Amino acid sequence: MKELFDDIYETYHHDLYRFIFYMVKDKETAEDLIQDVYIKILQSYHSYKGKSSLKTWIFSIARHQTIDYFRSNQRKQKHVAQLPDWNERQQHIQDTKPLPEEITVLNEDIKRLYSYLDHCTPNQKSVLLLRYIHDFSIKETANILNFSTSKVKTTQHRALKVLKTLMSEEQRGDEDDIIRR
Amino acid sequence: MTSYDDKDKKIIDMLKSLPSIDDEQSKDELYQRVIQNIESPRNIKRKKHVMLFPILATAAAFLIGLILLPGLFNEEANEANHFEKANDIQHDDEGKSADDQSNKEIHDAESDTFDTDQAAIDEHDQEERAEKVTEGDTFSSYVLKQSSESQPLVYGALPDQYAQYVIPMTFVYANAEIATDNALTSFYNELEKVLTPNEWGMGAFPIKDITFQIDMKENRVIAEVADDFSIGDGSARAYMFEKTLNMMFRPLGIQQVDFKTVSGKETIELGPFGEIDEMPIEEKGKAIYKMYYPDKATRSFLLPVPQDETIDITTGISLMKENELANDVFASIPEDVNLTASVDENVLILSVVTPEKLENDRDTQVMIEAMLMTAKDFGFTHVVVKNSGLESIGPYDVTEKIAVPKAINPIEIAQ
Repeated sequence: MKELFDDIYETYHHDLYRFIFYMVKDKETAEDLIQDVYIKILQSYHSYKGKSSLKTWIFSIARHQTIDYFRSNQRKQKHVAQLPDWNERQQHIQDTKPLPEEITVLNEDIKRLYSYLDHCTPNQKSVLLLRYIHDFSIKETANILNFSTSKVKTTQHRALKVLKTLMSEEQRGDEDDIIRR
Repeated sequence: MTSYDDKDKKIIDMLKSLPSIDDEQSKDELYQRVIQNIESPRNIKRKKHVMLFPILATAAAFLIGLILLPGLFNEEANEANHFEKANDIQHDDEGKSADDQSNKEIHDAESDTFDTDQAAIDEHDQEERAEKVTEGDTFSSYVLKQSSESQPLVYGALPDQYAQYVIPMTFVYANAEIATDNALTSFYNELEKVLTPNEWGMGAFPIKDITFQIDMKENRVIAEVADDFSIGDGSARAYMFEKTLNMMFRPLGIQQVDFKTVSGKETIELGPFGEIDEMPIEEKGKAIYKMYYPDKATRSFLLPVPQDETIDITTGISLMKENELANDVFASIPEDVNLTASVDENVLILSVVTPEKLENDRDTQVMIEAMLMTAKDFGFTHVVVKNSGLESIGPYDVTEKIAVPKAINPIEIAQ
């Protein structure tokens, strides 16, 4: 078991942690979740049939763990019954925690983008992270999320639109401020 | 192939530049906890997260206390002096406030003069249109109650004439039998015949040359298009196409639209979406409801104005008081009516602060119906109206809680 853990850790840990962190945007929660991901991997490795790549399989487990986390988090919130499903936007987990040091040093545009990720649904966020941070293809992303490729494409389009709209509004606001001054 | 515009590319580049985040726990530490949890799963062990900030804050408070302590002994001696200074500061502030106020009045007066003509035109226009909203329409309601009879409902949508919004409407087939898949399919395929965008001051129906087949059991719709089908260029057209499909099929509980061409090809090229074989119906987001009533239209409609998911209901209510004259969109809550909102589980409680401004008239009914639709989109199931000074508003008994509506902008189709 140690050997399997070592192999997976050396090959995938960095990417896995990064994915989980950007999903939950909290280092402590990411540490707890990645622990659960390793438990699941080690417990169910015997059932891995090799139909998809090992990386895809591992990321699909990570994605399930973050879904479970959001769901249990939602249950703790008031009006949980009103949040229909996993497509619902993450108004309940807006950034309230301090930004990690890696983010605070970035330029303002990227900090805004980081903050606006919370305006996407978890599905939209998953697609953006898998496609553009982890460079998975549409097909691989579809396998990880158990989506059709068309669903990945439409979710991706909608997610980019959310971010584009928010960034444009912010830009317009800045321009208005300059004009007022 | 998915096509990206320049703004998409910029966002993608920014996403790609999001930094790596380091996991600060050691590999051995992580492995030990993983193994312990696999061996004794009933007692899940987590990493102990040290709350550094409170510890530092406590230490800092202690140090500050130590530094300030000697000074406290001199506090009494200094108190009279401080009191005098505080009085001086207060006088200064008052003087400053008075100056600010007078400056503000001068500035306001100047602005008022500058804007007078335009404001008068806008106000006149607004009042004239508002009168039209209350007098022009002869139909009874902008919404369909939950308790309405279960006639087949067919949901349509059209863009406004400036292609800023998509306006939903509900066709009620008064004498039709219960909605079977075939009956619904037939109604949807004939939808364009009952839409009259010119009369309503709206843009053209963006769903053209598509034959639908509805499968309620599978919550799917098959959309068959010609081999050379195109939604045209530009993301605005794609937006209208997508939003209209969502508004047409979401209320039926349809989860996705599957595309195919008449010659059997199972993917279609859909502008900025790229080549796709299906489109998931998007979950309903939050919206506030206002009135859409272009100058030469024969009737008005309630119009959803999409909002960010982070908006709260109080902000939503304040936005409902704002006109967008350039888009022929009008406030649904009169400017002089003030409401406060509170929440009890799934019930939105509205308290009228200015009951003297309310009468049981069409304006107030419009306000209630716009509020009911807004409440529905914010996830509430009922609305309570307190302190209205009225027992009923239009068809609503405001002494009871009111269920949010089943559908919006009903249009009866006699067969």
